Amino acid sequence: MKKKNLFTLIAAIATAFAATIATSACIYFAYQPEEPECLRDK
Amino acid sequence: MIIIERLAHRIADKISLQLELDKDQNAVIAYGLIGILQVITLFIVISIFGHIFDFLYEALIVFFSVGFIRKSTGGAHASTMNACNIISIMSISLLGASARYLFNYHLNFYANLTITIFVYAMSFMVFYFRVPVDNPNKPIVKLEKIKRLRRESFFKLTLFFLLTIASIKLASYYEGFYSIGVSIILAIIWQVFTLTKTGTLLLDKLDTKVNLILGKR
Repeated sequence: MKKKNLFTLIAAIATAFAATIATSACIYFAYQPEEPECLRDK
Repeated sequence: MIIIERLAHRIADKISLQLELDKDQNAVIAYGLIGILQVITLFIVISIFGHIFDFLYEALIVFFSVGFIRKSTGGAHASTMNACNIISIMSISLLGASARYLFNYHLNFYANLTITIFVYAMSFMVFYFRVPVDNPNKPIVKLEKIKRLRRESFFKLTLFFLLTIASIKLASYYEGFYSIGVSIILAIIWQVFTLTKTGTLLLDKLDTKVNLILGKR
């Protein structure tokens, strides 16, 4: 159960970070991985 | 794909399996994790370099300033994570060291003010013509988004201009502020440079060289 909570927390943080990148011009530094299709045009 | 990307995908796969997430959610989590892991890695390496060579504060100011403004302006990008990390660490360390050791001779307030106004006037001009600079992995096509990013970029540049002026003014009371102001100016110059065509060409060359040295693309 604890493990599942931890995974949920990591997933939430990663999704929030991905959403902030999606609304920006690029990721934090000089490498831009390919953006997932579902985040395009945000 | 290097260790950071591989690790991000492995964690995302594990989370998706446990939480029964679909392919899209998996891709979003992996994308977010790549960003987080990259920022953490760069922060740790730059902090170690800064601590060893005694330019920690300057390097961290450059690191956060470039990252903060780059999110709105975009800019030249490396083709691989390896090249990006090496170029970022090199450039931030060099700028931090320059702020600490090379440009740390104190000019009077008016000379500083003149240099600051000149640098920011040039920066506003480059911003006006170039921002936002996108790249093939994240094209920016929506007019609404372009307008919003331009607004954000000009706001951030104005904020940095005011911070620089405050730093050089406060430097007459406390010397430490001088290198803070210089670090911000150098971060802005570097970021503006990566927006120009010359900057893109130079970064491309560096990217190719680093990838050749590492033996892969």
